[in-house]
Amino acid sequence: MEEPRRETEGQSEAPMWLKTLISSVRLPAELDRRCKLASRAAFVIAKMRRERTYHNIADLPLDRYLRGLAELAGVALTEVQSAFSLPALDSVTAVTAPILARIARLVGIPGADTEMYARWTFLQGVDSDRSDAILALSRGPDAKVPLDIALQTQESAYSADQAAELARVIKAIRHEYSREA
Amino acid sequence: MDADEDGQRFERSLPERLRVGEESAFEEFRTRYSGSFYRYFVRRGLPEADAIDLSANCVADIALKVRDHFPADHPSFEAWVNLLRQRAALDWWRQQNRFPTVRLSPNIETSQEEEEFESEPVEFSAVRDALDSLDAIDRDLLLLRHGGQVEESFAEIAEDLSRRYGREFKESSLRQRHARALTKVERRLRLDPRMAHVLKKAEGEGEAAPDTENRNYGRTP
Repeated sequence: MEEPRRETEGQSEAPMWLKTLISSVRLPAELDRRCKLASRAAFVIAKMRRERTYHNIADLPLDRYLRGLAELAGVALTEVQSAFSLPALDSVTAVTAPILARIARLVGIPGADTEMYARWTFLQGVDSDRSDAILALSRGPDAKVPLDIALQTQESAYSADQAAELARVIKAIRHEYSREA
Repeated sequence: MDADEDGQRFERSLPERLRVGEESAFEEFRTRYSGSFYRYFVRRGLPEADAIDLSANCVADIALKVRDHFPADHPSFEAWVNLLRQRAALDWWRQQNRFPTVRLSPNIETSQEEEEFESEPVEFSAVRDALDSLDAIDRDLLLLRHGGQVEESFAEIAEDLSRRYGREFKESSLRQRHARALTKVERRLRLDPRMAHVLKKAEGEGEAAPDTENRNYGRTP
């Protein structure tokens, strides 16, 4: 049977069934790019997660703890940041909280710890001096105040806007952890 | 090694390698599943950008879930991955509809209808295998020429490939390359049993000539 051929640019072309199939299996270039980044991020997180089994959550704000883990694991946290579109780690807002929480969840940090240490990161963004004061209150040889209580003491001084933003941060973190199962 | 043996070996080793955090395992997981995630999400009605987002999320999240959540005695890694992929799509739709996220039982049964929906046409894997048998330039060339909604001209493809590979491609040589690659792919597909029903249908519609020997995809006689 003579196959009908379409002439394009003076050249014979592939049969329709073959063109249809090739077009069906083509994937967007953006998918390849994003999935490569995601795959690298997963590898970096796996290394950090393994490191975490040797170094449990330290007395640090979340960003500093994550950086420390990455350093100990010998991987670049920036690979995770670029895959998850998180430009900065050292401040937490309602927009960045779900991403930060996702990284923390994947690394294996429990939700309650993530929440507490994100509060600390938030405080650091609002007032780094007060954040440092937490260390004196809750850690060190003479410290008697648990970290969560120490944080609450500092948070009571937040403006209404800051308190509302922190509430949104906490809500976003809880939502992220609720998806874990 | 035949395909079944290959599949068995894959099913045994990839989860184990992911569990211990082997770098190449994450890459293999991506290569194997990113396309199927994307196609599944698109078939599920997600817009392209969201399907890409969700596919990338699944590539990271599912690979990382293996260590703690994939049971060592699970009969099929493939089925487990598909279940998580299905949950990701359901979750996405719930968020769009502002429904609360519901925890699904880990023992959730996949309905026959869903199984059928999930399974990709066999000819897709035949085409992917045929394309994979080409070298990267030939593969890109065929995908650029026939992969989009609108065919790119050889001049456009020459520009694109020159950018990608950092060397100059001439339109005339690409035409020859294209013809050879297309012949190779078609010949391979005609011998592939997974293509039988497609070829039969095409023949019924008077489209598929049985011999590729006499086909000339624009090559200079």
